[in-house]
Amino acid sequence: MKVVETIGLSKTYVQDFLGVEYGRIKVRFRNRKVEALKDLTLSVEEGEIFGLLGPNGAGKTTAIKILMEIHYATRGKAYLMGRPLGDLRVKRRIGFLPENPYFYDYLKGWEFLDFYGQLYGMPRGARRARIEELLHLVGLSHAANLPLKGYSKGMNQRIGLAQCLLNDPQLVILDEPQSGLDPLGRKEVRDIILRLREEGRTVLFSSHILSDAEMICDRVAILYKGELVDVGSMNELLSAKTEQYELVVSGLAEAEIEKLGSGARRVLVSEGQALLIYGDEGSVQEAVRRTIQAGGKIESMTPRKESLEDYFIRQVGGGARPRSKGGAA
Amino acid sequence: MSGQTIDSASVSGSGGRRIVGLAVLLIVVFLLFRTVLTGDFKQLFGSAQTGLSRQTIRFNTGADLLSLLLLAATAAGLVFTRIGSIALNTFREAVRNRVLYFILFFAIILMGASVVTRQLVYREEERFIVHLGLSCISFFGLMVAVFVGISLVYNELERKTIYTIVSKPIHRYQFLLGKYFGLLLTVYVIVAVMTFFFFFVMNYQSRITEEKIDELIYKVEADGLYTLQENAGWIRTSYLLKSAGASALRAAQSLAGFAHGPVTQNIMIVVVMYCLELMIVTALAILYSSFSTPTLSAVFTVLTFLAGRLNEDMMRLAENLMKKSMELQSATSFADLTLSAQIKIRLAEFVSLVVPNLDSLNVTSKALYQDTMQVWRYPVLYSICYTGCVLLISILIFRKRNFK
Repeated sequence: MKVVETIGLSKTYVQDFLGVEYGRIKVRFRNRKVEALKDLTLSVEEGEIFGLLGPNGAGKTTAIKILMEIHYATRGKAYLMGRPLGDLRVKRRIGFLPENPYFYDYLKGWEFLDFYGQLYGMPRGARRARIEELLHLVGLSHAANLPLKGYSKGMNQRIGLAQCLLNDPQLVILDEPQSGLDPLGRKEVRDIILRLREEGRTVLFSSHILSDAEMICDRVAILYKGELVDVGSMNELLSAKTEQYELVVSGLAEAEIEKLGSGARRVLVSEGQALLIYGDEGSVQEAVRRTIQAGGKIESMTPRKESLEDYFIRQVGGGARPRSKGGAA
Repeated sequence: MSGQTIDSASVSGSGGRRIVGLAVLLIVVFLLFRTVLTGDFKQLFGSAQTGLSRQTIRFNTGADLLSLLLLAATAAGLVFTRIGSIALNTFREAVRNRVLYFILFFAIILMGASVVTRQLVYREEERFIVHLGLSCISFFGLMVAVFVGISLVYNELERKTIYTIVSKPIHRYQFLLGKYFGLLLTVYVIVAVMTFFFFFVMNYQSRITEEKIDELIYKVEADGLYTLQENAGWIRTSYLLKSAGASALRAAQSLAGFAHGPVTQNIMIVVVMYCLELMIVTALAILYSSFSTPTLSAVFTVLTFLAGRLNEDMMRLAENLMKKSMELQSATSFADLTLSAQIKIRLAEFVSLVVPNLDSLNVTSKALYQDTMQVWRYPVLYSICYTGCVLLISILIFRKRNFK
């Protein structure tokens, strides 16, 4: 089942004459329209972790805002759980955590969760039990009676996660859940996301931290300047074959290194060590053999596969055209 | 899956709750209209008695029962509906905001200061105190509605707390109405506290006079001379404390509508009229802040309030324009007037229609200079209708808005 489906979703921000609705992106005086999202068509299947990736200003948050009805789409349609947006029955089964969440800081932790539980229409008893369970899950049991004012950024993110799980949602939408967190916090969020999938929930999240996404996503969509560049599973997007080999050697004369470097893509020399990068397996094996012959020492030899980051730089940084415009490609 | 069971339970639970909420709303509306339509509005606040000093507690079974029902219905509405949840949370936010206490602090200082300032007034002290107190209630009530009210809605957008609210299964209109009722609750609580303190000051001052205290602390000797009693200080202090306690009790009674003198009766009516006025002003604050920035909203709201207070003048202008142009152009009917005169008159009429008629709700001078007062149904109906229209427009604007 398609849990999330968007068809040709577009959003154009127009500066309001009363000065209320500025687009997210800085607009020049003469250019008052900003196309934040162009013809986004994708779908998220049940039970998968779907990553919405892209640099800042790519339209990730805009897409999520439209799905959550914080903004309305200029064109296009979107469906959640097979129903058009705005269906309250669907909203009962969704959890949402916005980017850099900020909550009512005059409320205590449990008061806040209790208030949101009321909005879900949960009965009193169920609310209490669920809040206790969730505070335990996100590790905030000790802070339940502290006002949110005193929460650190990480605690804020965690109480945000708790509020989006209150209703035991089938679909969880997280906007930049790991931004602003330290490595430990990022790992915790990652673990929670993985756990959500184990519990059979669908997770849609956006991120610009690619390494985090790489580790947990089943499928990703890559956005750039409001357009969908590519979508697919990790294996489909990244070439499985080894991209390059990095060889670090030491104890060689400069002339020897120069000779080795003739077949390499790049050579970096520093403090008696040399980093040589080769494009194919044959030449790296040849280099290793010659180093040993010349009495040099092999410090390390690493085959490097393409990471999402490399892919990203190749696609986006290299000025690639988005797929939709590339015709049949 | 456990998710399924909780989900379905909450669905059926909220269905039942919706019916309860709707029923409560209907009852409230019915009662409001009944009260307004079945006669004297005064009845809600007990029956008038004579003499400020005489303590009479009178129950008016019909009115009291009705007020209790209204109170219960409001409470149920707050507890059982989602609008109520948001309203209570809004109230909580306002109550935990320091600005509110500053406003309240100044109001109480100003009213309390009348103990001193009354001595500057030559004659008609009571009227002076009443005027000062009422102005305080009106002004600071407006301050709360404008400054606390506007920041409450704006904060929600600015700090993006609205994001998570919108993702919950509630309609946007429920959010806006929740904000409105929460704000109104805050304003009314503040008005009630100020009124209580006002009654307290009035009562206290009527009890504490130089003569009374002298009577207590001096003893008349056999030779007709007065001598100070030994424990005069203690007698004085205990009398002051006793009076304060009695005044507080009496103030609470007056506020609840059980014991009225002619003055408190009139003041209570004025305060109720202020409440109606604030109902409109709060709705306007919500309307403006639903599409504009806080500074602009505050300016708009205060300006509309001032325009509203001058509304009768606008009406008079329309009338005078009509009369004058008729005379000048020696016309017999409106249709005979020149087009420009017609446009002017219609414009003045239009403005006085659109701008809230707060003038008709302002009965302060009548309360001060007349012994008995009449309360009409018209202001109540007018306020409810006007507020309804303003809220409807706010909802229409808010419904399709992109949040920043």
